[in-house]
Parts: sequence; structure tokens; C-alpha cells
Amino acid sequence: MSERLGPDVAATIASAASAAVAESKIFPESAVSISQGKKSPPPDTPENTRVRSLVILSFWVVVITVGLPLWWITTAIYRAPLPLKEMQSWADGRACRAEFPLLIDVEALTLPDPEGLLKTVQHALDDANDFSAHHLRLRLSTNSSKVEDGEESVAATLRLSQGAAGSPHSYVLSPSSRAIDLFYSPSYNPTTLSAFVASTLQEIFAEEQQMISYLLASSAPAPSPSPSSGGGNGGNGVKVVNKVNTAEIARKMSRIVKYSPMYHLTFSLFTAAGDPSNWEIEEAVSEYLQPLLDALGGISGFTVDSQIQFYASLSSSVVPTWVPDSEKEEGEEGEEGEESASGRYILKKEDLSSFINSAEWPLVSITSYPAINFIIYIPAADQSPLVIPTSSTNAFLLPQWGGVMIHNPPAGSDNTHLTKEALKPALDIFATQLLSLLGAPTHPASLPIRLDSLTRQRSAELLVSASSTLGSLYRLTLALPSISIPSSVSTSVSSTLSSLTAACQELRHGRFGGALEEGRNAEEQAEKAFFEKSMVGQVYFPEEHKVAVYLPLMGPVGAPLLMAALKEISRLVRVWKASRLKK
Amino acid sequence: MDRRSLTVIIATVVLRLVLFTAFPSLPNLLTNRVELSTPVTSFKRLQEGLFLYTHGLSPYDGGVFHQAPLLLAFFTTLPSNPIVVYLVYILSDVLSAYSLIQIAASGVSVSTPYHTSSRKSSTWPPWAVAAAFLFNPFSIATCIARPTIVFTNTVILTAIAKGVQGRGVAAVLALAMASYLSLYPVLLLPPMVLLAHDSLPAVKKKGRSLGSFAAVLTAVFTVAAAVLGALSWGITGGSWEFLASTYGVHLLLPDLTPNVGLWWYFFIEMFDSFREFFLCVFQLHLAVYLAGLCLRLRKQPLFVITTLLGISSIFKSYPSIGDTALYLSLLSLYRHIFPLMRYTFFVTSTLLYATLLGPAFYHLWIYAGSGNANFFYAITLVWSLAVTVLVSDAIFAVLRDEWETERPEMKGKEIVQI
Amino acid sequence: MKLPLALVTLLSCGALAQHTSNWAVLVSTSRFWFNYRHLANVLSMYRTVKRLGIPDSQIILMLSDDIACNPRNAFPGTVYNNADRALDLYGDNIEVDYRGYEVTVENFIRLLTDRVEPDTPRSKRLLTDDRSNIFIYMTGHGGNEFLKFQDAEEISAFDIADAFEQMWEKKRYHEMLFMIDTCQANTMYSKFYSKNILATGSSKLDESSYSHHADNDVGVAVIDRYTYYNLEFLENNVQSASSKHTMKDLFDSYETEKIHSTPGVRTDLFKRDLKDVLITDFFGNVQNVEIDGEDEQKWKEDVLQLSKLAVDFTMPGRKNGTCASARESAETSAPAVKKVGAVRVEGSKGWSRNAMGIGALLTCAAAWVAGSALT
Repeated sequence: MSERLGPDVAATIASAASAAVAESKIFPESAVSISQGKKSPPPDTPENTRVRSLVILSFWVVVITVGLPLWWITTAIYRAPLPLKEMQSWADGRACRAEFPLLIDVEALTLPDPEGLLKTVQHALDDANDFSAHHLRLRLSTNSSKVEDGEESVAATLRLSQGAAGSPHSYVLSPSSRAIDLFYSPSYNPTTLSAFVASTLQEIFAEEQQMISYLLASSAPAPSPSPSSGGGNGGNGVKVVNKVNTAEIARKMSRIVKYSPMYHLTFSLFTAAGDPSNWEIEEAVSEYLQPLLDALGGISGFTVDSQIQFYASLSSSVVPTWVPDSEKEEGEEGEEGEESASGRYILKKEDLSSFINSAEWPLVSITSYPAINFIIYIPAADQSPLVIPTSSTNAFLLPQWGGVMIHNPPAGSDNTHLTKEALKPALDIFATQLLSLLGAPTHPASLPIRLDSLTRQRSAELLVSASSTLGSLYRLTLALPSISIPSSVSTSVSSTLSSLTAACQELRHGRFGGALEEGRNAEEQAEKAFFEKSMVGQVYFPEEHKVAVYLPLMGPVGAPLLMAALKEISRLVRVWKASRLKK
Repeated sequence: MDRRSLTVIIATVVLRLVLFTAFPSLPNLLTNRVELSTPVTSFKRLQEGLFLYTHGLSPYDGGVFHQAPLLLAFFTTLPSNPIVVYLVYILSDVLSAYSLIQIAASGVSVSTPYHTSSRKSSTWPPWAVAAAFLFNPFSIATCIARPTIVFTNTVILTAIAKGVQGRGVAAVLALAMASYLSLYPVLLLPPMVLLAHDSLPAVKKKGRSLGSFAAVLTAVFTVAAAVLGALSWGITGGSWEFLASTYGVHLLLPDLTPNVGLWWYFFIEMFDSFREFFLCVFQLHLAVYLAGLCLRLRKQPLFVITTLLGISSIFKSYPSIGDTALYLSLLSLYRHIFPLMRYTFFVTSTLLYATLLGPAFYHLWIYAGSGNANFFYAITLVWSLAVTVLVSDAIFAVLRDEWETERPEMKGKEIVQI
Repeated sequence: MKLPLALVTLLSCGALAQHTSNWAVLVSTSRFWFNYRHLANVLSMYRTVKRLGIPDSQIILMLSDDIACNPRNAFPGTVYNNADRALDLYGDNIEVDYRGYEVTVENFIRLLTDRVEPDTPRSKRLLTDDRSNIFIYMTGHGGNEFLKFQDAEEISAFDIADAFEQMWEKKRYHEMLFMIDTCQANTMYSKFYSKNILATGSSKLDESSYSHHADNDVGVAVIDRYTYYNLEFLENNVQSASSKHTMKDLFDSYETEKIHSTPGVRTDLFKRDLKDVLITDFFGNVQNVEIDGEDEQKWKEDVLQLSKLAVDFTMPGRKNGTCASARESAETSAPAVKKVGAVRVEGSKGWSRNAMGIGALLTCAAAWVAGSALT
């Protein structure tokens, strides 16, 4: 019945073949020994003996000089040398102490003693910082040279100027630039001002700092290198902030899509009815979303497609509840009779978790890189308005997956066409969801600063993930000694290591764009090394299988050879003894 | 050449021509048989190579063609008429037969300078040896299927014919050509040197020790092989690709098309991690007999060659019926030892059994789908077993013959092996 | 100094507590008609996980798939798991990822470890990460520490254990449920040593697993007992993805008298208490949801303006060009498409080539004549 014979049967056949081999192999001795008669074998002629010895020797010479080395070479498992020590030190986080020095230019033209202020602020910042890898450095900018090219980039520019009389210290963050305008109160007091400057800066970069510290901490095992080396004398107020937000940070981190140099965005319109039949998604994306995608282009690229699915039904477990407008209590299930009364259908949180009807909605990506889905759902007329009571935007986010918005078209409007303008709120929500899925911090209002933060965060993430991949590879090579390691793995590993080192350097010098680039390469090479496709196969090969493999050789071929050699040796021993006796 | 030989040759040429022309579908039918055409000899693959070659592409592109470049040069110069191709193959067989006649006429199979068989009288005349080759159904089928092994066989037989005439350089040149065409004949070099040296006329032999003779012939062989390699390099437009695509295929067995040999199935089933090792074992296995045979059968180098051809017809990487046909034709030179062989009935019936059932089982496996690969492999095992028994039985018979020459009183008596 | 450490542990616990995606790998390792029930087992599981919300893109189905259209099938194009033939498992919307002779040990291990050919489609890959829960279901013919794949090869318990370890090392799963229905099934998970694996099998060492019942019209057994009772529990109790039944409930429902073999559960690698592990943690796909709250309102409003302005600035450490170069690198990282075009070749009467060949042949002939003449 079986289409092929199993390996064991193959071995049997091999032994049959080798038996045939052996049969023809035995002949030199067997043929020679013919010459012995029935009763008392007459002595061999010396010439025959010599020929026989030579024949046996010739077989053994080939077996030993060629066969054995070939056996050794061909069955050895090739394991390319890997820089295990270095890999381990990266995995443990000992190789590189990632640093994120943020340079802040301070423009204080009107201040009497800017250097003095800077010093105090710097001191206050250093004191307050319990995560020394991420620290702020202040620099008094001279008016002439704004940004030197090639040097480290400026994380933010702090512009100090005098505020209106009588006002307290305040600051304004421009949403579209890295400038922080700080207005100090005219009643100039260096101590309060420096404290205010310090806390302002801390506040702006707090979230990023927490996220990076979380990233680095979660990567490193016990000898956690990252936090708490600098601020030994801590106990400042900032720490409290850090602690409070950890749960929040963990939640934020958990929704971030794993870094990839490319993402695919799918915009889907699922409508429970047959309309709208078209939507201006292309225009809407290019107008509302493309600028953001362009801005993100330095971190990851994006491809976009869209689809419409008509008569898309919710899965059977999602049952919206009808709530009349007047009383907020959970009313009885949507009574069709009360159609006239204003009310709404609400979705509970449990409904949302199985809102995506993955059995029927075509949400399969065919790209090789990760996909992020954005869905606009338009409920059927008899189920609208459909709302999520706890959400002001009627939208929700699925961590690592995408976002959903429920769109209730205004009653009485033309439902067959969804215009660009109608899509705007949805796309705005999707933009924020995209940023949060990618991991941009929510906090400072300035988009440039947030994207800078994202760059640093992603570099840290890549560094951590490439290092941990190296660690996994390191442990695997030790744990599975029978797995072969092709030389391409070794090449990829060394490329990873050099990229990691370069990334670390770039970080130290505050060149975060370069660090991201190197980190990307490190990650790619590390993945390539780990997922080397020839490093597969049945690792487990028990000894009895090996016996089965070698038996055809050892049995029919090896045994006659061995017997002949033993006979020959015993004859030689006899001759030698006889010659001694003669003496 | 006497009249009988001529008659035999003419008869067989006519027979082949009739088969070629009267059954126009027969050549292509046989060309597709795996028993006759292997990946390294197939005429169909040769045509593929020729097509690529004449269209200015590398003949080895596509991984179908694995044969020597000189064959391309040869076939492109031929007019592209099928009759011409038929005639070339028939001529090749005739040349083989002519070489066999020469070998048989020399009487080397029964009498060498060191050994003369006591059964000398019962040997076959040259025409009968030629007939045994030319009328052998295996030879005929091979000729009609037109694999390039036909040329290799002719060149090997030519080399032997030159060898028995003591013309060492010519013998070695022919052997170089044979090795160039299908690699494994390189194993015949040492016995060929011995054969040529033994056959040297006594006058010439005087001044030349075996050592220097062997050195000269080995050098000639090497130079000839190098020249052939260089010519091939030129023919394929200055590329060494042919080395990997011809000899690499012989050595590494990338193509697992079934054949009558033992390798294909074994390497389908082999654990990947042991593949290289067993490739080495199988290749080494072919070479390991060389020294032993040369030592033990020093008196009869022609029989060493015969036996080596027999062994390689079983154990080489892509054997075909054509190899066995060559062995059988050389064995027919040893008619005088047939009475000493013990398993002739077994071997004959087993060979017939395998010959008849092989195609049937292949059909069941490939076309009918009611059998599987094991069916055909079992038959190739039987076939190989039969040839193995034949080879070892022939060796036994020759050794017995040698022994009886030493001890004429034991002739025809029962002996016991211990 | 201690604080951050405590913080780390706290965080890692928090992070481990949830998963964001569910994957299922469902394997039937046998082929041929008389193994109908194995296909039915797997398709029943397939139906169940799909019912509970795991999308097809996250289900890897490996089948010989030679039953539905088998000439011996009296009900062509269908597969049933019950003699009442109420439910056609093969009916609609079956996406088989590995079919027929693709169901091999090598492919299975490649799938688990993701060491696949670069051109493998997404549907044939297990694209999981450290937040994915994986449900692995295997059925077929097995023995002590091995499972046969289509009568041609076998996978050993060690191979699976090593593959799982590689997955764990590469953080390819968060938690895993391994369920196997073969003879001596419990031996298959005895060699596991990687964390966060919950394993269950149909029978212990030296015990066979039995089929539940045969359909006389189909002519063969249609489902195995262990799978049957698992399905019975899931059908009756786990109606929807929001079910609160736990793995403990499922395991407690196993009865040796019914199953006719001793089902096993291995929990020592699994950290959580089974009482807290929902069945839908493995069989269903419950997505976490974050509802956009009011606090993000302000931020949302900013976005449009910000994104409009975003065009005007450049990222630090890069010029405008790097944006393009990032794209380029992304493009080049996609498999470089070699321009393969058909080239028309003509039967050239290349005389130089022919001359070369003739020259070579003449050289050979000359050498032969000379060699023959020499001796």
C-alpha cells in the first residue's frame, strides 16, 4: 500500500545491495583457498601467500587512506564558527550601553546670565534623572550657527523670552516644529526659573523616556544595565511619575506593531447594506493621511490599498442593544415598534472584542510585510445609529492589528456615495490610531518631537530585538549540537554585530536617524541568520537510526574485510612465532 | 577477417537496418526506455543539447544534457538525416565487432605470457565472438535506442584490441577517449597498461621495464585527457561548465531517474545528512577492486578488464543494458571457462526473468499506477544480483582454470573451498 | 537599585498576561481512505476554531485531502464526522494550506520554526510573535514517541520538542496548547521542555486510541473518541467566543470510560492555573479592544493640522533624500525581479563554431592516427 518504502526498508535493501557487493568481494580469498584439498590442506605456495597478503592489503589501504577520511569529512556536521562570546554579551546587554543623549539648544537672548541658568538647569535635570541612558543636554546656541550639518541633531530648541508682566512662567509648544517657547515671568528669579525649565523639559520627554526605559528593561535579563546607574542620589519627584505610569506604558507598548521597514495599510469599507457603493478613499488618503505617511517615511514605508464589502454581516455573537434616548437604562432588545422614538443601538465591550467577523470578512494580506487594517463599518438602516457608548469618536483600536470606526451616515442624506469630506473624521481617527499602533508617544503636542521620539524608540526596539535574536541563536547553537550551521549564518551574524556596534555608536553621538538605519540592518541580518532555511531538518537522530544506516556497510562489507585481515594477522603471527622457534 | 566474420557482420548490419527502417517507431520507443537510456547517455537528451548548441546557447543550460562536448561537435558535422545517424550507430557496432574479432584472434583470453589455459581448445572462433556480441538482443536494443554508451563501448573495445596487439600508446589514447566520454573507463588504465606490456613482442619488451612503460602510458593518458578537456573547452565557447555537467553528474548523482542500477532508489531513500557519505562509499566501492584484481589476476590482465567492466556495469552511477552487453561480449572470449562455472542456469534464468518483468513492472509503476517504485526497484535488484553472480562465478571459473593449469591432476575433480 | 528590578518583573508579568492574536495549526498526518476519521477529526477542529473566531489567515491546515474526492466516497465532495451526516465538514470555505504530499515532517518543522523558502506565501507561514497563542492539533497514526507522516516518514517527540524550543527562543509564541489524538499520544509531549506549553493527548504509553463510531454508508470510522468528546464539550458549552469556560472544565470533562483510553494533560511547563485559562485563549480569537476615549480627543483634533504641516519638516539626521532611499531599500529588499524575457534563438549556421568542432574532431583523428602509427 505504501507508496514508498520507509527508511528502514531502504536500509534493508541497501544491505541486500551490499550483500551482493560482498559476494563479489570475498572472491580474492575464497578463490585462493580453493587450492586446498579435502583432508590435509597442502601448504600454499609462498607466491600465493604473498599475493593474498597484497590483495588484502590493497583493500585495506583504500579503506583506510581514502574511506576513513571521506567518512570523517562527509559525516561531520558543518558548524560555521560564530562569535559566541560577542553574541552573548549583546544578548545580555553588556556589549553596548545604549545612550540617548538629547541635545537641546537654548536661545536666551534677553537673559542676563544664560550660562549660569543652563548650569543650574542641567544640574537639576541630571539629579532628577534616574534613567541615565536617556538624558538631556543643554547647549547655549549662538545665534549665527543654527544647526551644524552632520553633527548630532537637535532634539528641541528652547527659546527663552520674557513674558507679559505679572504672568507666571509658561511655555508654548508649537505643534509643527521643535521649538519650545518659554516665557519667563518678568520678576526674574533664577532659582524658580531653572526649576521651571527643568520640569518643563522633563515633562516633554517623560513619556519617551519611560518607553525607552521599558523597552531596554524588558529586553535585558537579570543584570539589567539600563536603569538607575546615574541617579544614585535619586528620590526626586520625577520618579513617582515614572512609577505611576508603568501600567499605562505597558498597555501602550502592547499595542505597538512589531517594527518593519514596510507596512501595508488596508482601508476597508464594510457596509451592512448595498450602499454606499463607492467612496473617495484614494483622494481622502492622499489628502489627509499622505502627509503623515510621508513624515513617517524615514522610519517605515507604507503601501496602501482599499476595498469595499457589501452586505457584510456582523458575526452572530455580536448583538447590539437598543437604548432609547430618554432613559439611559439598558432597555429591552431593539423593539422595531419603537422605531419612531429616538434612540440608538449600542455595542458593549464584549461585542467589540469579536466585532471583526474574520470568518467572512476578507481581511487577508498578501504582502510579505505586516498589514495594518482600518475598517469603516456602516450599519444597516434598521440598526443605526450604532454607537459605542464609551467612545466619543465611535471608534476603537485593536492592538497590533488596526482600527475600526463605526460610521453612521446622517439620516436622509445620499447614501450611495461617501465623499472625501465625509471620510475626514474617520481618517483623522485612523491617523491617530496609526501613530499609536506604530508607537509614537502621545504626550508632547509637537509632532516633530513625537516622531523624533518614535525614531529613538524604534532604534531601541530594533537594537533590543536584534540582540535578543542573537541571544536566541547563541543558545540554540549550544542547545542543539547536531544542527548544522552554514557559513551564511556566520556572515549574517558578523554583519549584525557590526551594525549593532555602529548603531550603538550612532546613538551615543545622538545621530538617531543613522542609528535607526543601522538597527534596521542589524535586525534584518539577525533574522536572516536565525531563519536560515538550511538549519532545519530532523535534529534528533537517535543512535539506533545510525546503526541502521551503517549496518549495510559494517555487516556485509565490513565483516569479510575484517575477517580476512584477522586471518592474515594471525598467519603473520604464526610465521613470526615459527621463525623465533627456529632460532 | 575471414568470410564467416564478414557474413556475420553483413547479416547484423542488415538486421539493424531492417529494425531501424521497418519499424519507424521502434528507435524512439527504445530511446525512452530507462533501461537503455540513462541521463548521461540518452539520445533524446543529446538532441536537446544539440539544439541548444546549434542555437548558440550553452548546451548545459536547463540541466538536461550531461554528455561530452565532442559528441556535439561530432553530431553537428553530420548531415541531419536520421538514416545517417542510424548508419553511424551501426558502424560503431561493426567497429566494436571488428575489435572483438581482433581480440579473439589474438588468443590473449586463453594464453598470456604467464599463463596458458589447459582448456585452450574449447574457445570460440573470432566470428562466433563477434556474433555473440552482434546478435545479443541487449546489444541490438542498445544500438536501436542510440545512447552514446555505444561509442564508449566501441572505444573501449578498440583500446583493448590495440592493447592485445601491444600498441600501448594507441590503447591508452582510446582509453582516454572512453574515459572522456563516460568517466568510469579511467579505472581500466592499470590493467590496460599491464595488458599492453604483456602483449609487447619479446624484442621490444627487453629494454623496457614495466615501471617505465606504465609511466610513459600514464603520461600519454594524462596528456590525451587534458587535450580532450581543452578541445571541449574550445567547443563549448571557453567555458568549463561541461566538467560539472558531465563528470559532476556521474559523481554526484543529481538526477534520480530510475535505471537498472542500484543507486537511484538508494539515494531517494537516503537520509540527506548521509548522502555525501554514501556517494563516496558507492564511488569508492567501484575503485576498491582495482588493485586487488590486478594483483590476483596479474597473469590475465584482459580478464581484469572484463571483470572491472562487469563490476562497473552493476555498480556505476548510471548503468544501462549497454554496459552489461559489453561485459557479456567480452565474457564470450572466455568460452573455455564456461564449463567451470557453477551458476550458469541460475544466472541465465534470472537475467531472463528480470528482462521480461522489468518493463512490465515499470509499466505498472509509471503508467498503470497500480504498482509503485518498489516493483521496479525489486527487478533491478534481481538484475544486479544476476550480473553479480555471473561476475563472481566467472572469476571463480578463471581462478579454477589457473589452478588446474598448475595442478593438471585435479582437472574435473570436486574441490572444497575452505 | 532594587526598584527598577521590581519594576521590570512587574512589567514583564503584566506583559505576559495577555495575548493579542490566536493561531491554530491543525495537522492530519495520514492519508488513504481508511483514515477518513483523521481528516474528519481535523476538519471538526477547524470548524470549531473558525466558529470561535480564528480567521483563516491564522489557521494552518495540513491535510492529505484525499478523502472528499476519493473514488470510494459514497458521498462525493463531503466529509462527515458523524453517522447522522448532519454537518458536512467539507462544505464551504475550507482553506487547506498544506495539501497532499506537502504534509511532510520537514514542512511541518519548517512551518513551526519559520525557516521557509523566501517565496513561501503568507498562508503557509506561521507568522506569530511573542503575543500569539498557538493551538496545535495533530492526529494520525503514532507510536511510542513518534508520529507517522503519511506512511512515509515519522516525526519524533524530540523533533517536536526541539522545534518548540526554537519557537520559544525566538519568541514565536506566548502560550501554546498542544493537543494530539493518536495511539500512545501522551508520549509525544513527554519530551517538551519549553515554557508555556500546555499539552494534552488521547492515550498513554502502550495504549491505543480508538475511533468513536463508523458510518455504515461511508464504510469507515468517521471520528476518533478523544476528539469526539472534546468536540462535544466545545459544542455544548463553548457557544461563542465570549464563553467563560476554562481549560480546567475541558480537562475535567474527560472520562476514561468514554474515551476508552487514558487522556493525559501536562501542565508543568504551563505557568497559569488552569482555572484561569479560558478555552477561548486557545480555541477562539478574542481581540483586545481599546476604545478611543475622551482623553485622546484633544490629540485627535490636532492630528489633521499636524499631518498637513508634517510635509514641511525633515526628520533629524536625515535629509529629504533618505526618505526616498528608505523606500528604495524597501523595494530592493523585496525579491529582486530578474527581467526574464523570452529570447528568440535562431538556428545559426555558425561556421566558426562548426569549424571549431570539426577542428576538434580532426585533432582527435590526427592524434589517433599518430598514436597508432607510433607503436
